[in-house]
Amino acid sequence: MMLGIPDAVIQELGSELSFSQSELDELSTSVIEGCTNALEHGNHMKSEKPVRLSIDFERTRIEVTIFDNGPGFDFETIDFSKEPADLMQERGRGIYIMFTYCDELSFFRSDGSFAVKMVKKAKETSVENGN
Amino acid sequence: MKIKERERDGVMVLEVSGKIMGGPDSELFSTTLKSLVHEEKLRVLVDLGSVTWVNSTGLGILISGYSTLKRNNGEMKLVNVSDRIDSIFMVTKLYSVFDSFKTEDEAIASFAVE
Repeated sequence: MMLGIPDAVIQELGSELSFSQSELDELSTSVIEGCTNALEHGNHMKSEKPVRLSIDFERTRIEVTIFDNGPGFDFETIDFSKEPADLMQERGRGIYIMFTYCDELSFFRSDGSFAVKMVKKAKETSVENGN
Repeated sequence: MKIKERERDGVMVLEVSGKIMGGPDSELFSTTLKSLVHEEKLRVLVDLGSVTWVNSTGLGILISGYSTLKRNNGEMKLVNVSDRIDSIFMVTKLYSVFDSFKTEDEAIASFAVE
């Protein structure tokens, strides 16, 4: 899994914008979670099925959409803010992490793809400091 | 992910580097810990200083390793946790599971007092 690539892209892009390192790390981690889900659950690790990323940005806002070829899941019935019931469970934290780290998180279906869209906004202190 | 092993004062220090993200990482970490358990080396300090990032699957790998040692009356602690990884421990509340230390000296000393 080449998850280092989206991480590097977000880190490089964000360093040119008005985001703090912690904000970039939070978005990067969220994008990695989104890509992991797309590869594992959406495309079932089939290499011939691509995962596509779309990144839109302005100085204080980055929007990342991740598309896979799977049917998706019943996202309308899931409470994203709910932590895993068992602290020791080994899986099931991805969406919770994305929800916690991002300012906006949504799922949708489009042209046979399933997608997750996440938005991260730079906080005012980051903008003032120009970090 | 790569793992380099060394022993210090009766504690096995695992210097992990790269990314902890599942796939082969899971097998490598699990095999390493099972081998240590087999050799009755049950005090394990995982140095995350050279780990770039951990995803949720990687968290599962660490939890699994912790549980393996716990089941065998051993212990797994962490050292040199970056701000990025510390943040994910905070968000997932796993900071309450893993004992984490800033320096190796502190971590090694914590094994000795138990």
